[in-house]
Amino acid sequence: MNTMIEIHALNKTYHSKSGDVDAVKNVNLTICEGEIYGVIGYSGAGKSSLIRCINLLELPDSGSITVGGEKLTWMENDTMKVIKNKDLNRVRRGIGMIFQHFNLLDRSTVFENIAYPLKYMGLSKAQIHNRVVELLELVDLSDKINSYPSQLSGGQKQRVAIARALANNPKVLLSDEATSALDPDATESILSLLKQLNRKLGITIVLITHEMAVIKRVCHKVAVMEHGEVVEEGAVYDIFAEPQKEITKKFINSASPLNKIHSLIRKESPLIQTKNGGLLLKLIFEKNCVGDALISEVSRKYNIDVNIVLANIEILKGEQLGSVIAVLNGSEKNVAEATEYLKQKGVRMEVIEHGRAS
Amino acid sequence: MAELLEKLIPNVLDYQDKFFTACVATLQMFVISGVISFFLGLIVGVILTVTKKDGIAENKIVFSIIDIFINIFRSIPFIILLIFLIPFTRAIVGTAIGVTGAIVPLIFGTVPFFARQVETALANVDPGKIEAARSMGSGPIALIFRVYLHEAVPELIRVTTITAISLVGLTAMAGAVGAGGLGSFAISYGQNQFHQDIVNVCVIVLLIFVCILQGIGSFLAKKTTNRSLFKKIEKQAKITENEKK
Ligand SMILES: Nc1ncnc2c1ncn2[C@@H]1O[C@H](COP(=O)(O)OP(=O)(O)OP(=O)(O)O)[C@@H](O)[C@H]1O
Ligand SMILES: [Mg+2]
Repeated sequence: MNTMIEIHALNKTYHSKSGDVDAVKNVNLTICEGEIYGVIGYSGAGKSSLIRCINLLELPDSGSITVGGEKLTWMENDTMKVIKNKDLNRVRRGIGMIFQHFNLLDRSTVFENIAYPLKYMGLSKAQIHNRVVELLELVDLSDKINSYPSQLSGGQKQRVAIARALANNPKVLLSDEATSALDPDATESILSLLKQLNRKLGITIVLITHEMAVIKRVCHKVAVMEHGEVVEEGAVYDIFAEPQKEITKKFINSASPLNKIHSLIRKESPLIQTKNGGLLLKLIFEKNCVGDALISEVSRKYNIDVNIVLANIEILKGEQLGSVIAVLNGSEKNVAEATEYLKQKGVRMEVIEHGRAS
Repeated sequence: MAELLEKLIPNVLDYQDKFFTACVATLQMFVISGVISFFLGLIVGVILTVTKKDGIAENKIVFSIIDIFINIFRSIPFIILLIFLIPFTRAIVGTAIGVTGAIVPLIFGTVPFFARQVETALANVDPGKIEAARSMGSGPIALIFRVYLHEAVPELIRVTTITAISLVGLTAMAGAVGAGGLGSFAISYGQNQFHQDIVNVCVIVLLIFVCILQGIGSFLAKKTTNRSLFKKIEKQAKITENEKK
């Protein structure tokens, strides 16, 4: 796959009265053409600063940024060179951007808002009109062409913003928390629109969010940011299957129904009672072993009781990832053998609690 | 009718010609200094907006210089400014009296006030809109005309109305130092000669003029805003008014 966005050794520090903030620290990213690339992190992690560097809304202090083969910044003898303003504006027209608060012009109609960037393309009035109509069809909002933004719902406003961002056929779409101000229904419809645009137009999307559910829903790859640094990066499936960093696990748990287990433990629910020698376990079945009847097999083979407390299957980019929280009760030896057997079969497990003598 | 007028405002009728000349002079001062001040104030207001910290063409030196000038001129009472500027006015337009002589001080009295109002109006434009336009490849000129000024039109009309009304007051004051117009007519023919009816008529004419300005301003502001937004702005204006009280 061709590289669309290449970021190398990027740094950005804000200087303010209350001290310096390293918003982006030595970030390296490669984003391929046609990818939906997610960046997740808590508030203040530097996500916005990073994405705003991609179209130079924010000027980094050092590092190189290349978008669609055009160098926006690059290093020469330890000093950063920056693209000329005139060229930058041309490059920006090939990078669409959408925002949390839509940022439409309130005194312009939907038509005028979408026509805004088209004025730069030297089109005739009729061509502009046709293009706007086409874009409104794309975002499924044709009947609102003469409405004002104040007459639209949040989700509709974001659709207009998307149409505007796509007006000049950009190769890249940057989305800074585009669904954070929307209700769940509107969020879902905007996410599926983004996905559809990615498939239909092959547009590369960089998407920022603080919700793992959004990443799960649309992204192919994800980078996790913490304190200005990218701490973990990879295909969404791999990150979900084998998160390395604590923060990544936290994000994944927040999006998983299995995190109910913590409240069960707190309440000392009888559901998760382990007997002496038993175990409370989290089992993770990756794509190669989902579907095997492993649980009933070990139960029979090693003569133990397996009580499934919670279970969940994620389908990520068409691949399945199963996770189960279960209580294994039986003699200590049998339980140990059973877990060993599961490990051999490729099941990953985390012990949540050892059984106590009751 | 004529009899009634003769009874109510005898002196105005006696000085009819002078009264009409005064009205025309006031109108001339208002229109000429108003138009010039509008454009100058708008330009200065825009320059303030773009050069201020985190503006689209940040420039500390330009901003500070203009900022200081505005503060100085706004803190001088207009009546003092009129006298203070006499030599300067003479140097520029050749005379310090009459309509011509009044225009220079009127501009100096109006532009700083209006520029500040423009600055405030533009500051109310959501920075997110500027950001979005920048992301679409707009340069500074497009940002000024297609975003800042475009989005602030209703607010600009509002502050223009306020400024125009205060300019009416200034033209009358300029009359006191020999600029002609209704102000000087009211003083020299009304007050100095104890013709109260002349003063009254001047007051009424100015009052009508102000009402017309206010009416036009409100109408245009309403027309240029789409409705739901207008309600929001009005509500905000009311809140700030209450806060002032
Ligand atoms: N213009 C600025 N001046 C000073 N500090 C800033 C500025 N913009 C951002 N910061 C600081 O940089 C850090 C990263 O900010 P950034 O907006 O990139 O975070 P974020 O991950 O997008 O957070 P959020 O999820 O809240 O949007 C924060 O600590 C923030 O306070
Ligand atoms: Mg942010």
